[in-house]
Amino acid sequence: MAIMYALKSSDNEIFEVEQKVIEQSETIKKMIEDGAATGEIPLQVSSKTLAKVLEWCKQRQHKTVENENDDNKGKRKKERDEDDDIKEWENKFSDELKADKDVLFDLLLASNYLDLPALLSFLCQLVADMVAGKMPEEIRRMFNIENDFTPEEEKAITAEHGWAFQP
Amino acid sequence: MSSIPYLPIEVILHILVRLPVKDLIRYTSVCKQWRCIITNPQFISTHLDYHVHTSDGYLLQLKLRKPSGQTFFPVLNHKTYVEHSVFDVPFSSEERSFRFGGSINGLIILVDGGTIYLWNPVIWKLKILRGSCFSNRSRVHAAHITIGFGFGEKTDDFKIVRILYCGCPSVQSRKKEPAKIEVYSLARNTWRKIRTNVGYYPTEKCSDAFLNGAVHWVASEAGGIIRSVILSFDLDSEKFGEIGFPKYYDDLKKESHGFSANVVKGSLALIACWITEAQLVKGCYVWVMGEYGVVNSWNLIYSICLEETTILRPLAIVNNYDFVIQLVDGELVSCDLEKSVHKYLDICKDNVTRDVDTFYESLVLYNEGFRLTPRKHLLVEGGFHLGKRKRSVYLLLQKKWR
Repeated sequence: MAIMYALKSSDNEIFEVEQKVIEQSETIKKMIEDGAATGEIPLQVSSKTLAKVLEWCKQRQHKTVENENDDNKGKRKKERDEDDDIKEWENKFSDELKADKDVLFDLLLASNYLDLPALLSFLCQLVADMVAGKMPEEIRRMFNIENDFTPEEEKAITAEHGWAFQP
Repeated sequence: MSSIPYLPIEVILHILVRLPVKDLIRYTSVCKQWRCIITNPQFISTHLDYHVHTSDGYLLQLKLRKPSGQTFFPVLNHKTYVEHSVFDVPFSSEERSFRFGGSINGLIILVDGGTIYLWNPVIWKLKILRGSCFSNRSRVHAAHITIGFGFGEKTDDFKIVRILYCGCPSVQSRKKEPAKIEVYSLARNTWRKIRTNVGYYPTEKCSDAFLNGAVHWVASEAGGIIRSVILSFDLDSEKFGEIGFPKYYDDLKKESHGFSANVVKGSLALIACWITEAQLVKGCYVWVMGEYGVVNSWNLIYSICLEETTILRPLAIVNNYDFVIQLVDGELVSCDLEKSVHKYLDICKDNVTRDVDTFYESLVLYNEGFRLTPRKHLLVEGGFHLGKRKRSVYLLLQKKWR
């Protein structure tokens, strides 16, 4: 029987999760090892975001368990099929996130806070792909950044690297 | 979209490090924080490191434009060989043409007599190194000038080592003067003399083998019996070392051979060519050193011998293990050293390729050197480098292009 942990989201929803799944989070793993994880583990993550985080973790867990059970025979073909499955799943996952940027940014913060390197790197690549080729004004809007340059300063930077501002 | 939260700096770093150079240059105008991150030397080096380890880089070719003879660099995708862009050298040579020193960390190094150009073509930056610790006369007298460059492992400082010597390394009886050696550091922006008698003279003009923080050349011993070794120079400690040739070398001695040091997938490699009297290459061999510095770990991984000579010369090892050979008709063949698969590169077209290398985009030199503009070419004409005029020209250039 797998050991289960109860995670409590910031809006007081409880998620029952297997230890193996949640141990991917370095933050929670450390709490478990330190013995600080008794009863419910309170997290500064909303239930909506936490559900997404767990969806990712379960998918990753699924992948590693299957690989462990494989013997070498026919592994290559199986791996290829699996890679296709994972790719498909990841594409669906990222399409959903691209459609809802609020969730994407919340998830980005959660993966950083929970220390999930694989998810963080996946999301950063996703954002980097969305950001590539944009103009500074679009970036400011996207990241909710205030332009703290004076118009003269901004003009000077644009003039300095004019070539980079042309398509 | 107003609910978008403030992202911590470490997350922003993770995102920015994945972006191409052109985007990053544009995003220096997003806000002061982003500008500060992007132009930080630590970020520049992390960004480069990320792309070197996660992407294949590009295949950089060197060609001469007809009839002007101007040097230009087509940049191709490493897998498909589709042209990605072309870098035209936006400045002129003092002599007839530039010698290509190689490419490292996004820089293209061009050598023109005693002048070395460090050029980052993606961000339009140029640094010209004219200085030397040695007098003009001794530089003119030196029949051989060899350079090597790379980044120190501990200091992360870009360094160039230049070795000057007279006489021909292949003439046995000739007693040689010690070589003159100087090292340039980008951090200090100066050349410094190294006082040591190496006892070996590099036979390559430039090092293609930068590995473990050291540059490597094939070199031969001074006087007496000619013995070839790989000479190394550690860019941190600024000390020379020597690495013995593979044992097979004795068998090869009877024939005329040309050697060059290179790197195959993170290991030191030695390319040997079997040269005919007509200066054509009859065969090529590639050895890889399994354990760095251990002579017994040399392993012959590739050899090709042709009945009818069609090879002109081996060019380089690119993309970790693609061995590029040039045929007599100018065409290039790439050989995958892992799978031993040969492939003709249909990239020659009108102009013959002179050299190839691997290229990665980077922000290196962002904080220094001259800024070139795509419209105005920086002309470095003959005579500019002569003594008195040098300073005034520097001032003029700074005024014009800063």
